[in-house]
Amino acid sequence: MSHAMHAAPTSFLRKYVFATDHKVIGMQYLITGILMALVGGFLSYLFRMQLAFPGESIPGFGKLAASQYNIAITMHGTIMVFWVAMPILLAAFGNFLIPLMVGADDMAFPTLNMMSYQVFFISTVILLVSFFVPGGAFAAGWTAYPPLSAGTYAGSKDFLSNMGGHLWIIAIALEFIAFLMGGINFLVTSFNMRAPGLSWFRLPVVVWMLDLAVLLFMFSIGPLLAGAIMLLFDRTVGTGFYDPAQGGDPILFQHLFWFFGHPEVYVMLLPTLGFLCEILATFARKPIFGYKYILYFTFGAALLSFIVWAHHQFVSGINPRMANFFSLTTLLISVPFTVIVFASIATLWRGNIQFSVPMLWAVGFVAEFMIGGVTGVYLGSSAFDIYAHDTYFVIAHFHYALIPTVVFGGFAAIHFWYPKFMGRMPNETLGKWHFWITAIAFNGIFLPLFFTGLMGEHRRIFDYSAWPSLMTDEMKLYRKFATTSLLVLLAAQPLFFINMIYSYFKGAWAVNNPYKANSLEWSVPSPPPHGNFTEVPTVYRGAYEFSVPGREADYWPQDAKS
Amino acid sequence: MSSVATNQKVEFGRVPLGRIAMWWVIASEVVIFGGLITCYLLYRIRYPEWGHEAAHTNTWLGALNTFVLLTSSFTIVLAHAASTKGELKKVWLYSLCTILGGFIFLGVKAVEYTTEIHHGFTITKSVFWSFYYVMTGLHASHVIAGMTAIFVVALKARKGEHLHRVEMAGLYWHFVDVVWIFLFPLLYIAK
Amino acid sequence: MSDHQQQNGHEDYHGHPNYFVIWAVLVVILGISLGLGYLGNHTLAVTLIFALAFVKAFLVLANFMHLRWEPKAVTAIIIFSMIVLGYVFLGVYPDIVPIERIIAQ
Repeated sequence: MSHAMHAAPTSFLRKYVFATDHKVIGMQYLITGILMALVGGFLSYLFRMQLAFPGESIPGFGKLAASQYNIAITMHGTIMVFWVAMPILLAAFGNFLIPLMVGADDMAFPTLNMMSYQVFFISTVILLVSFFVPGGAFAAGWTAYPPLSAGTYAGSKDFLSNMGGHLWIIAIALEFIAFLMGGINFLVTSFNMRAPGLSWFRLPVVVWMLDLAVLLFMFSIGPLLAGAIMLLFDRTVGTGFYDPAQGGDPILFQHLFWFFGHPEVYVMLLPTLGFLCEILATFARKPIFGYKYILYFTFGAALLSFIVWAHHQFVSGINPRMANFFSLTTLLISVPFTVIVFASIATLWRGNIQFSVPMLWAVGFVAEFMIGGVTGVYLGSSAFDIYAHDTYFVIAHFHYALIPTVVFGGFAAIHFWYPKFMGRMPNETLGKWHFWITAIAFNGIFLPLFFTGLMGEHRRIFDYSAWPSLMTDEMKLYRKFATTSLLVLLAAQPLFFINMIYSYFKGAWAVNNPYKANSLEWSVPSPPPHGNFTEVPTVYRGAYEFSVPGREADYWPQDAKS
Repeated sequence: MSSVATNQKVEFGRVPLGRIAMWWVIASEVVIFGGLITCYLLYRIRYPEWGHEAAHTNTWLGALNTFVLLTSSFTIVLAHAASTKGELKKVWLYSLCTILGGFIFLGVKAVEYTTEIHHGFTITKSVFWSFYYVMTGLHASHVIAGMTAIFVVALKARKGEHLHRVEMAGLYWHFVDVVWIFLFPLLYIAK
Repeated sequence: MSDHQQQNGHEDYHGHPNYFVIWAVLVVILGISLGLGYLGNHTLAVTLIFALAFVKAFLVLANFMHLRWEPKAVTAIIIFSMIVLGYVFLGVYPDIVPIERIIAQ
């Protein structure tokens, strides 16, 4: 079943730079994502300091001007979604896990895989360069709504000073292409390269989730790519696709953006749900509760996710009858995810639970994500959204959805598979301190923002001094509290880096299967050699045979004959 | 991978890797071009007066280009058939014919663009013309990509190497043809 | 199906039609579409021309691209991408095509 394998590379360049090995490419995506997270985190430091202490000089930066504030919030959103969440959750772990979990020696198209990272790398460079061009980086919000983003206001067609925005569009388009290329690898490898005996319903949930995420991405990205091309032409050439004066319509871009934007959040969520299943089963020593139901409900959610998008546009002037429709579908889509949360709880119920660091992150994800999910139901009701749209309530909602997904999920996965890919055990104590401080501080940042949002605090405002009702002592206190919590959260992150680096050099050596899990990646050495398996494994059972009655051991690897 | 006799359906998990990958590429491109076409359709329904603008595209040249692309699709599938029989000379010849078709297509489009711009129908003249240039321009860039892919594959194929790639490059070319089959009535007919 | 195989021909995984006949039919349909442009009834002409475009596309997909001989799932992938486009069209239609115009027609 395996195709002709490239011979093991020997030179440094071939091993680490122009690598075709999926494990190296996964690492390249992971490191790029983590470094970009530092950039995105720094940007949030800047604007939160400005919000809590308006007009004061920010340590390590100086005074933040209004235009810089707009750049900071735009690029924070852009970077966190496209250059942190997608590369870490989807690209890195997809690359790490899929070939190993299906029993393959590498991805179906290793060279294409390498090229996808190279395109992604170029997109990263272009995005970072955009900070330094005249006029600075793009500043029209990560949602890039025209007319602001189309530069169709008189006097704003200066090509050079708009360069930041042009580069932003190009970087995003390249990133989309990189993920399309990578996604084909995930799908074809899962479809065609599964080991003998590995039927679809014996695959670990995370493989299903990664493939579904790729499908969601592939089918939703087209209209936005078209829309981005049209936006680029509006900006550079002066076409009128989104310009009412020339017969265009700005709402078209909003539709195109959110048609992709909504499935995109599930593209980010699905891999984390997959990690959740793997980690919960392993550390509760129990099979996943309702494996097939989780899959079926996720398919349903994926299909539904294509028809909820305009809940982002309730107050933008869409046809109110459509608002009814989108409200209904948005409320419906909470059902499958609720089922998955119940399944997670049922998985833990009466399990032999070990609160290792990955388990802490995973359980923390479920608890925190629920707050994001519930507040999503509020916002999905168009009547409520009329009040809450464009306030900090929305920001708090999506951070309660995204941070558990990306941060908690990302740390969970990194800690869980660290022994497998680095060959060493990470430090539990450092991991636990990192978890608790991060988790508590995260709530400190965003819980107050629900309240400030309901009190009327608008989004994307540099300075609230023009609104006396938003400058009460209570509001200022909430803002300061949020910012202080952010500082605590940022201060805790070095613990993670110290853990990762120290453990790599001094951690205990990892055996093949330190957590006694069942899926195929745990049957190979830590780290796996080039080509992963010395011989093609045969699979005899599903991935969740934990605590099987009658067996002495509480786990039963997929490829064990008996 | 065991070989399957002709006329027999192929199990999904047994579709050769390259071919299934190309179908995924085509599916994603359908959504990209389709997205652009959908936006055009929406605006077209909103502005019936675009019919007058469309009168200024040259229907005969458009039809000629449609004929050229259909024929080049024919030649590339003949190249594929030849590749299954190992007829290397024919593979090379038919591939070149397809590429020639691509050049003719691009040449005709160049003539069209020049004439249209000369008469003042530039990309900023109206949103119809913006769509016209962006859609046909994006399509033309895919034509160029397809021609390049066919050429690179044919270079190896005429020596007998990687013959299965002829089909994959051909699939991409057919896709480019299908897009034009839709673009032609959308932009050239319906006054 | 290895990338590194060197052989005289690759296995024919599917059947094939008479390509020349398909090409001829396509050209005839093109001719008919052009002729329809001279029809008196504009709406009828447009509808027929688009229908014929779908027929041409289907012929190319099924025969030149051999979709007829591929597993149904491959066709499903392509159909699904078109359904997705249908969602875009339906969801955006009410905002781009103003109601006044719909009523006025």
